[in-house]
Amino acid sequence: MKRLIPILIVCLILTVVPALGQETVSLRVMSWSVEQADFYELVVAEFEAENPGIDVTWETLEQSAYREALPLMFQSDDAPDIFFWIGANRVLTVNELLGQGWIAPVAPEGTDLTEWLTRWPEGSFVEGINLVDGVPYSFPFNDNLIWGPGYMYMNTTVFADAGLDVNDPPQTWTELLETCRTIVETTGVYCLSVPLTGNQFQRTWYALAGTAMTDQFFDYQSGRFAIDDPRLLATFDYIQTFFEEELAVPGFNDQTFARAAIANGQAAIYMDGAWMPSVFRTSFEFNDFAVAPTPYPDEGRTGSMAQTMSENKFFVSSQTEHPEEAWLFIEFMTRPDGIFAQEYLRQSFGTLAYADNGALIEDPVFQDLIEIAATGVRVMYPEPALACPDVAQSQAYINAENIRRNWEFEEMSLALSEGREFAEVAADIAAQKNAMFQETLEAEAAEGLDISVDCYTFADWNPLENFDISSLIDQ
Amino acid sequence: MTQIGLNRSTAVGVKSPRRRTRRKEIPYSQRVQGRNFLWVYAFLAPFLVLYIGFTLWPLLATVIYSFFDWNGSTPLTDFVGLENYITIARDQSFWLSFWNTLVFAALNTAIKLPLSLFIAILLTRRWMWFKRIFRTVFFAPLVIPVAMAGLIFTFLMNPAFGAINDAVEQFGLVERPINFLGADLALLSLTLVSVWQIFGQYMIYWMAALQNVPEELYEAASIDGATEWQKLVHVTIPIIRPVAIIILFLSFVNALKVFGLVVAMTGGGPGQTTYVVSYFIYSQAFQSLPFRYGYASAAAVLFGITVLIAVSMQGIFVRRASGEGGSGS
Repeated sequence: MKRLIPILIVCLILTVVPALGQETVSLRVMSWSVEQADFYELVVAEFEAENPGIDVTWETLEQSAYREALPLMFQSDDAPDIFFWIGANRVLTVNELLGQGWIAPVAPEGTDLTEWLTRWPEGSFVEGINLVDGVPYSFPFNDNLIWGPGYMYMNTTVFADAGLDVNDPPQTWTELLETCRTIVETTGVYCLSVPLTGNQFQRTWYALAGTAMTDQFFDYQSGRFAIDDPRLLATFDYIQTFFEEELAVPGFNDQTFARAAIANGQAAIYMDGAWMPSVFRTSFEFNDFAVAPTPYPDEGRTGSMAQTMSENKFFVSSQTEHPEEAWLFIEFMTRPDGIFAQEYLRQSFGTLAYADNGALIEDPVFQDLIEIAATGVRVMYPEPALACPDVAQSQAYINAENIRRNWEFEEMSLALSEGREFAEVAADIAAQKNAMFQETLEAEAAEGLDISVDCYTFADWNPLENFDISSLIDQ
Repeated sequence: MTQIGLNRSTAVGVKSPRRRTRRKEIPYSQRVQGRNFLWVYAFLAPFLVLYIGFTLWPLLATVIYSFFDWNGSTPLTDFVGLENYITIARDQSFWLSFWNTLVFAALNTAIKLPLSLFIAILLTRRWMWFKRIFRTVFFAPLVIPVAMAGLIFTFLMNPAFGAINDAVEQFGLVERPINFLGADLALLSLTLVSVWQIFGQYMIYWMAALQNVPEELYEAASIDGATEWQKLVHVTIPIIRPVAIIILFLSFVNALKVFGLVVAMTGGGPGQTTYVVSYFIYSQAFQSLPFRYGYASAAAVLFGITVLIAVSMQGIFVRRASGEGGSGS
C-alpha cells in the first residue's frame, strides 16, 4: 500500500497538471442549414484536430426558429461566438447588425489580414458593405453569380412521359407555355408548381421577373419602387396565365408542398435557387431532375437578376469572449482548398466566393448551374451605398418596405389564388412606397444626411450589363 | 305540448337559493404566527418567484417596451411616448388582423361549443355503447402538434391532390375542386381545423359539467313525459349554465390566441385574409430586420386589453348565472 500511494500521486500529477496548463476554449457556431449538420461535424473534427485547445460546437436550427432564437440569445447575453445571418437588406446586413450591436470585427485588432484578403477576387471587400473604417466585419461567403434564385428545375420522368426532352428545354415564355400545355394534355400532370404562402412566391417571381426587368421591386434606372412597371405587370400576367389555364398546381401552397409536387411527379417544373439540388436530394430523396435557364420574354431578355454584394453571411458576435479562436475558425473555414471548401462544394451545398467552384464541384447538375450563370442571367447592380455613403444611415428604403412587409408578394399571391386583376393594386403599392421613400429622404436630408433620390438613380445603367461598381468605389 | 313540471327555480333550487354569507373574522389563535408564518412564505416563494419572473415581469416589460422605438437588443433609450400606439391606430394590417381574430374566435366558439356539448351529452347517456373508445377518438387530435395538424390539413385540403376534394368530387357534391385555403374560405377552413383539433378538450369540460346534473331530475322529467330536447333545455342547460359561461369565455379567449395553425397552413394569406393578431405581432417582431419590438409590444398591449375585457366579462356573467349578481336569483 505504501508503494502504491506515491504511484497514485504521480499519476494524479501527470493527469491534472497538463490539464491545468492547457485550458480548453469552447466556441459556439450557429447557422440554419439543418441539412448540413453532418458536414459541420466533419469540419469541426478537422479544426479541433488542428487546434487541440479549442472545442467547437456547431449548432443548427430550422430557419424560422433560428431567426426567432438568435435575437433572444443576444438579449440574454448567450449569443454564439460565430453566427450566420441574412439581413432584410442583404447588401447592408453588416450595417443592420452593427446597428443592432451584434457584431465585432472578424479578426482581433492587429491581426495581419494581408494573405486572407487575397482569397477573394479583387473588389470583394468594400467600405460600407463588409468593411467599417477599413476593418472587415464579414466576408463574401457564397459567390454572388451562381448562387441565387432564378433556375428552372424539371422532373425528367414527367418530361419523358410527355415526349419531351429535358436537354431541349423551353427557352422563351411562349415555348414554356406550349411545353406546359403539352405536358398537361399528354400526362395529366400539372406543369408548374408555384408556392404562394407568405413571401414564397418569390421562388417563381424572381426567376421570371429577372428575365423581363429585375428581381427587385426597385428600379435603379428611375430610382423608384416599381411593381407597377409594365414589364413587371406583364410578368405577373404571364404567370397568371398558368393558373387560368390550369397548368399550375392549384391551391394556396407553401414551398414544401410545391417542392414535394415536382419531387413526387405531380408537377413537371419548379423554379427556385441554386440550393435546390441539395434540398431535393436531402429533403425529398429526389434525384430525377435537370436544370435549365429560366425562359425569357419572346422579344428577348430585357432584364437581369441582381448580382449584388449580398453574400456577407457569417459574423463574429460582439458578445464573444474568444475573438482569437473565432478568427482561427474563420480563417480555417475560408481556406480556398481547405476541408470546408472541398466538402461544401463536393456535397453541392452551394458555391463559395473564395474557392475555385468549377474545379471542386463534381455534381453534374451544379456544373449545369455554373454554365447557366455564365450566360449573364445575373449582372452586377448599382449599389446606392457606394454612390452616397449616407445611404447606410438612411431609413428611407426600410420605411417604405415597412409600410407592409412582403406587400408585393402577398398581393400577387392573393391575385393568383383568386384570379384577380393586379395592376390597380400594384399602382397603389408603388404610390404608397414611393411617397414614403421620398418623404423620408427629404426629412433625412433636412436633418443633415447627404442623401436624395439621386443616390438611388442610375439612369445610364443598362440592366443587361454589369454596372461598373469600381466607378463608385473610385469616387 | 307537454309541459314538464320543472320551473327554473326548481332546477336551480338544487343549490341553496341565497348563500350570501358574511366573511368571518379569523380568530387570533388560528392565525399563522412565528415560524409557521415563515413556512407559509417559504412554500409560497417558489411559485411567487416563477409568477413574478414569467408572468408579471413580461407583462410589465411589454407595456414598458411599447413606449419605446426598440429593436430588441440595443439599450432601451429611444422613448417615443404614444407614437407606437398612434401608428398602430392607423395601421390597416393591425385592424384587419384584429377583426380576423375576433371572427375566428367567434366562429370557433360558435361551432365548437354546441358540437362538443352534443357529443358530451351522447357520451354521458347510459345507453351509449363504446363510450371510452369514442372519448379517446375525439380527444386524440389534441395530442397532435399544431404544426403537424396544419401540415396534414394542408395536404388534405389541397384542390389538386387533397383527399377531401377527392371525396366530395366522387360523391358528386361538387363539380370543381374547392379551394379551401383560397381567400373566401381560408379563415373558415382554419376555424374548422382548429375545432377538429380542440373540441375533444371541450367535450371533457362539458362531461365534467354534466356530471353535476342529478340523474333523478332526468328521471322526474321522463315521468313527466319530457322529450330529450326538453330535458336538455329545461333541465341540463339551467343547471350547467354557470359552468357553461366559464367554458364559453375560456373557449373564446383561447381562440383569440390562434397562431400555430396560421403559420402552418396559410402564413396569413392569401394576401392578408388570415392575418390574426398573434401573427401580426410575430411578423413585426421577428420576420426581418430591423426588429420592431416596441411596435409589436404596443400591438400586444392593445390586444391584451381586449382579452382582459373578455375575461372580466366572464366574472360578471358567471355571477349573474349563479344567481349571486341580483336578478338571476
